[in-house]
Amino acid sequence: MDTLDKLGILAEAARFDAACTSSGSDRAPKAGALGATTPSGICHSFTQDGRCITLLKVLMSNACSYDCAYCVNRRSASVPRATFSPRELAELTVDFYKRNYIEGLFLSSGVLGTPDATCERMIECLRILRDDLQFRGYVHAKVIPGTSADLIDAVGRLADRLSVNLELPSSHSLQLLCPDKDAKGVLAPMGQIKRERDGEEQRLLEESPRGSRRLRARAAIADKPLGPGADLAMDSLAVGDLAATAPPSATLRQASSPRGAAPLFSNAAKLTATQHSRVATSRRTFAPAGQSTQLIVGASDEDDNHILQLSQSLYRKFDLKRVFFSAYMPELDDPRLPEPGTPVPLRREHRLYQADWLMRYYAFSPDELVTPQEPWLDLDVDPKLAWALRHMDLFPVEVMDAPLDVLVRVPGIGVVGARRITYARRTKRLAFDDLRALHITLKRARHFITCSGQRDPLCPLDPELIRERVIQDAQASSYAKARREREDGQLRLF
Amino acid sequence: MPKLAESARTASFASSRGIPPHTEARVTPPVRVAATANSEPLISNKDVEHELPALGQLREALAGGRYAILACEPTLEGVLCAVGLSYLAHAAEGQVRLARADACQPSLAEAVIAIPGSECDAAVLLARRVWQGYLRAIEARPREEFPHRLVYAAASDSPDMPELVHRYLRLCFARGAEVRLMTADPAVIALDDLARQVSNECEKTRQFVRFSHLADGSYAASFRPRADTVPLVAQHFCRRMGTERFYLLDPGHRVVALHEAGERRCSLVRLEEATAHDLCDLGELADDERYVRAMWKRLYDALTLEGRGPAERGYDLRLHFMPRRLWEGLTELDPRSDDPGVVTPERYRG
Repeated sequence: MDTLDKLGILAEAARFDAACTSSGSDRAPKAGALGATTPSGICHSFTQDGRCITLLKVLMSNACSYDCAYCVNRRSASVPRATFSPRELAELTVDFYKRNYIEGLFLSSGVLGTPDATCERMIECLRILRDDLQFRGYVHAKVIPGTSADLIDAVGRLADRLSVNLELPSSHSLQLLCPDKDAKGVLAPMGQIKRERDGEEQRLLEESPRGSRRLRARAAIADKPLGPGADLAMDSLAVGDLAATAPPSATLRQASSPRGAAPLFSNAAKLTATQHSRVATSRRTFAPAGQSTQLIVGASDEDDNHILQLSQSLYRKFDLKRVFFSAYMPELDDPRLPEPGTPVPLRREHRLYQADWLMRYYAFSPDELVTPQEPWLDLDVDPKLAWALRHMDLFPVEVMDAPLDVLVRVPGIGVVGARRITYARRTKRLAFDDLRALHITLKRARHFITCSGQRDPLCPLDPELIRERVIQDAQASSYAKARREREDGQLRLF
Repeated sequence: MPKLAESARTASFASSRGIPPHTEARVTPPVRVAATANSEPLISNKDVEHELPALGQLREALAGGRYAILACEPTLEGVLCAVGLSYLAHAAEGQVRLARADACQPSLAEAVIAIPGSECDAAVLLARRVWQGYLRAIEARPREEFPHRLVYAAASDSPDMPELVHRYLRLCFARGAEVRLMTADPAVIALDDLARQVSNECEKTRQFVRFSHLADGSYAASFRPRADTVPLVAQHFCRRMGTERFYLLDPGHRVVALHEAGERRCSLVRLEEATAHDLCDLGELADDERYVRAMWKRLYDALTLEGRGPAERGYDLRLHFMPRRLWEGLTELDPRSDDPGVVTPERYRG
């Protein structure tokens, strides 16, 4: 079988992995070497269904010895099998990179015998790529649960980002659908990656005088040290004592260029409400772009409350850069799974991503978006709008004096728009026309703000009327209509 | 008059592609203007009067009580030169307006004055002088992002670009560093919008340029952005492809970035229309090119997930991110890429 045929099989086998980002790493070019990385990453193409392609996303092999019920590559499935040789895949990456098709390689694999044997093969591929072919582009490597600590360390020295997929949001579901995996085995590598990154950060800070000062200043804050990852249970993550391991409370930063000027080009990573690393990624040698994970949504019966609480815990305990959600595609006939033909829960995936964004960029907590009593996100209305409609007593807010963390909670005002308002209002009394010029989405925002004490004349005063109008607008979108038609006619299994 | 430093490092590469030697000296405007060191001598008023007859024409028009329209090259150099001349002629903001030379529609009361562009050394030097004045006015620091919004805005294809840049510069010279805080001023918003549009187009260039491997071992790509982005993104490709010899052509704006393997920078060359047209033909491809294209298309096709397409979503998400105007150059959307050709490269024979 030549590489062209292998590629068809192994790309199709990898397409269910939602993560495809090339961000978070800043590696400069070097004489005689090929490539570099940019902190924001670059999307080089988009699939027919609109998902970004930034990396060569393939499996090293789909000849998997595990038998996870939801997976098309499971041992018992009848599918064509293929395996790349390490050099073949490394050469392929370089050929695609030189043509500007990709930013680098997303390397994952089915379990070829054992996790360690698979990881060794992946390491060989990355070694060829980095050493023989002198490739300095982006590499995202998947860590298979059960891999030895020394191999995880080795792969982390070659890759920019590592990820360990949780796949299912609870130990129960994992036990039911993935008999070869357990929660402990999934969380242990995450704990190791976190510890190694923290250790390197500490070393780098101690090496520089400025860093030492920062360290001493931070010592007073005293983050509680994390226990070994292997001792953590997935379910306790979702319901456990978050406060015990939570870093200092999330804050929004007013990014600005020198002398208080509004930056024209926003660096999205700097707008997050989470704690930022104290050392530059370019100085790190172990997984400089951090780690991420993926959860399959809709294959098991966990609700949105459980998933968002779990995500929040993962961000805090393991310092994850992203939690990806992958809507389950019911293709397999298995009594433990939704029936084939059940609509893909696209809206649910979409709302979870929006909620995730609110947690990372807007400093929302999961409790503000879902509760044990109301555990599902509203499918018709985005989570921020739904939150605002539940808290109409907090609105309208005055754009001339509302602080940044209040402005970002107004529907229609995003993290960039809110910052634009805070800059613009320093020298001008803002009117609705000014907000329009600043590209604020007034269609939604107008109901929730005043400009210098004035309400928008077209906006109703009665909160009930506002609620009715914004819900009508949200429901009228082509997206909401198309998804309702497909999803509402079907029985909801979970 | 001070002399302009010329850049001509890629002579052999350029000549191998049929680019006449005399065009190579014309390094693209943003680089020439914005890269000027503070210590370089600036052109004097006397030299401007001597070298640029447009100044006399403008003074004459204004003295006659007429309004003037300055028809300039739609580049940073062209616009900065026009602004410089309007200041030297003591024209008030309302007395002159700037327009692209290729889209100039004067009213009956307006005198049209043609402003020389980047082909004229005196114009480039005056543009540098205006750039230095702008930096001083806004109290710019070295390597600061703020001043460069002007460079981005000037790369816009918008017919209003010259006048919007003109108004913004007038505001900068009138208000100085205070402009930094005037985020809601219409002139600032208009310039920032232009700069953002160009920045978005730069991102599309970085995303969707597709290089081909040629028979001589070099790589080549042709791309048609909706702004003069190649000069702004050339360094990005230089970082990525430092080990390769390549060129990136924008036939619409008639500019090419040339890179020799191992060099740290690209050379940027403005081209004659015929040369730009000739360069669009990439010539003979390398033996492995068809096979690699076929692999890329196979990967692209295989990554699609059913149940998430435009019909299921209610709108086409791919079109939102990847406008149809760019599809023509995308290897993965070209049905011809399905054909791997007759040669399977040794390394891919399995």
